[in-house]
Amino acid sequence: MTASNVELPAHYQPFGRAAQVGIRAVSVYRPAATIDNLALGAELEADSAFIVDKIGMLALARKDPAEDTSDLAVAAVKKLAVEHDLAFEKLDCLVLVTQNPDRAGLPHTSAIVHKKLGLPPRCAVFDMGLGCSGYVQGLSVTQAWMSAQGFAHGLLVTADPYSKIIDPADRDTALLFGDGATATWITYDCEWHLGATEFGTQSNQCDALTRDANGHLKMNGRAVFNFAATQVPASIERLLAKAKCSLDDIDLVLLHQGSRYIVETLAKRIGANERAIFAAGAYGNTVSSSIPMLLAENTPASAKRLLLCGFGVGLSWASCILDRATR
Amino acid sequence: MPTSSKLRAIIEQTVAGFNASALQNDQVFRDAGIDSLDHLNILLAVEEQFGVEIPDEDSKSLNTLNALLTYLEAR
Repeated sequence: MTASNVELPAHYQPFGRAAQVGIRAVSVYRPAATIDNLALGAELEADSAFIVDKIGMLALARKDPAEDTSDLAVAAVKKLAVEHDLAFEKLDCLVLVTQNPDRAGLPHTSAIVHKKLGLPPRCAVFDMGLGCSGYVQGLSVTQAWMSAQGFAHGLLVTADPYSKIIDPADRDTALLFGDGATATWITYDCEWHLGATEFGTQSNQCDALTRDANGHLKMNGRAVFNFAATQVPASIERLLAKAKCSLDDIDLVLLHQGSRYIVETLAKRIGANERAIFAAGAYGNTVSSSIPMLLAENTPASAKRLLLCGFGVGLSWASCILDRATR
Repeated sequence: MPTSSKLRAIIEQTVAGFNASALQNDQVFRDAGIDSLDHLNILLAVEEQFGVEIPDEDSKSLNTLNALLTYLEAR
């Protein structure tokens, strides 16, 4: 075996010399079926005004029971391929953010996705076990990996259908979560560059979001609320210091869509108000998909600088700046 | 030093559109229209303003102005 027998992709760059890759496109897949959250709330004896004004989710997207996590991921990637003319043979890597893998997580769900999509053998894949902070952490990890390895085309996929683990009788969680998936194409000639980032973990509260002995999601609402209300503003303050800018320089703040109340509370605490949008009312909290859904569907062309912050399971947070690329 | 007026100010700043001056000292928050999420937010604001930590096991019973004031005065 000699090095001259190895055929390298035409776009290959030597280690560490790749130009900066960024976000070219994001596509979203949401199942067509939804649950009427007001009707569900009535069954669980939840106040309808509370659902509308505080939870904010009027409908929750629901996958078909026969669909698994890999199917949602595949659907998002196929949409990306069609909407943005992506040829699978170009792909160097795929990172899948999920904490609800197919089967018991072995093999990794990204390998199942790789098989279902017929991706090229050289396309490396792995799963990232993160929840609501997963997209921003995933962006950072994927971009850094691609840049170090000279990869030209990569996908960051989020697919975490909580319908697999929700206790339908638990009023604290049953009215929040929706199913969905997103696929983000990371490459050169991109729409968004990743700027400063800020991450962290408050692990003394790691049991605040977990699964009980029956495998159902269990949430300490007060602990999660307090964590978000205190750590997110602190993270954003540190992020802006790293980026050497102020909130006045930010056009849109994309916060994880945990609920209308947490978004409004955080918007008030950081002073972002109308620049921090709540847009998940028609489909629910889609975990690591919530921020890329906002990026794909709720970011106007006029926005030049974004601030993203995901927070949740871990309990962990991840914040970043995205700057629109000038072509 | 916690006082009734300071707590009313916290409640008014925390709960959008709420008139805390009309809140009776022994009126249960929920009966006054303060829901569970607003209650969490009030307790967090109280913790931050007075530098105290309110354990989960104490939080549910702190659902009137008097209960909150008595609790803070004892800390």
